Amino acid sequence: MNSILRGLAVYLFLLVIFRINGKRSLAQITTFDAVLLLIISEAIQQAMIDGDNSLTNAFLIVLTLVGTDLVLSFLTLRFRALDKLVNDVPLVLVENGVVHHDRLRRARVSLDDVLENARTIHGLERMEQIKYAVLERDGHISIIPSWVPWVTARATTEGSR
Amino acid sequence: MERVDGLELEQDLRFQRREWLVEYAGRLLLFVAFLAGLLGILGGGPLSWGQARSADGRLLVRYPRFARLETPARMSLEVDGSATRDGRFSLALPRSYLDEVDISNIVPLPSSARSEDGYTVFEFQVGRGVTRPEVIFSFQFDRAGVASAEVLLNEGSRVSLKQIVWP
Repeated sequence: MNSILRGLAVYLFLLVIFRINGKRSLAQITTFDAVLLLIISEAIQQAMIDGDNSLTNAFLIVLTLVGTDLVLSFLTLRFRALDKLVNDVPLVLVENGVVHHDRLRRARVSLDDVLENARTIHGLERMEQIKYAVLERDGHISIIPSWVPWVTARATTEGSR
Repeated sequence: MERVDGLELEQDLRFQRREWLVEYAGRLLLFVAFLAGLLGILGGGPLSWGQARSADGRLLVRYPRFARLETPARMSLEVDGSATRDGRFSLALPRSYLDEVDISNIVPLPSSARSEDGYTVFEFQVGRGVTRPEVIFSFQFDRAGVASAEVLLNEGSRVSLKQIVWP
């Protein structure tokens, strides 16, 4: 029973910590973030196994963690309020070309982050070319350009025929 | 809940604002926990050590006020020389307290130990010339929560301890 309680406590603790840290906490993992994650897992592992190196204990902990995740995914699907609490809500950062600076600041996202996503995914050059930028629930930034590239590309191709 | 024009996306700015507030409060809590850890309120720091003296001043106990579960801890009991009888003194710890701890070592080793009504009594011998004999118990807690004990010296002087054991 101890292993199960420890597994549950660790799951809930990590859930709360990462929720407090905000949407962007692990959206872009740098090399240092990866090292930090390894250290966190090492620190947590010691407390979870509690000196019990048996296979049964390891299985129980894995069962608890995966089981809790499964139950939570069922519950979040069923209850919208819990879904928002656990998985967060999306946030529109740029709306019809208008930048919501207050939301950017509070969500700890810079304009550079938005532009970087616009460049790398859509090949956009300027802010005016962004219609919507949405900070998704998992912390990634979705960009919707003011024009849809494939439509323009198709129109150009058809026009040249 | 609001639907953003043109985008099939439901953002909830009311929830988002509340979430930001909770995030701020959470970060403040994390900072407080960090400070508590630094000061030793979560065990193993400057504030984690406490000391208590018996009313007659014959027994001084230094003990961890804040300890952690299954983590080595120590408690020192200093006895005034006037409390020894024929080069001996005894210390009694309640059995309910000993049930919660796992004693790994006692320095110096007691010459004898016996059970008495709700207590375990450890008898110690004092070397020649020692004016303030000290006994050190090394142990770890087996149970989290609040542990309290009353340590008796020669079944007379008593010191009450209260310890918080973090899981």
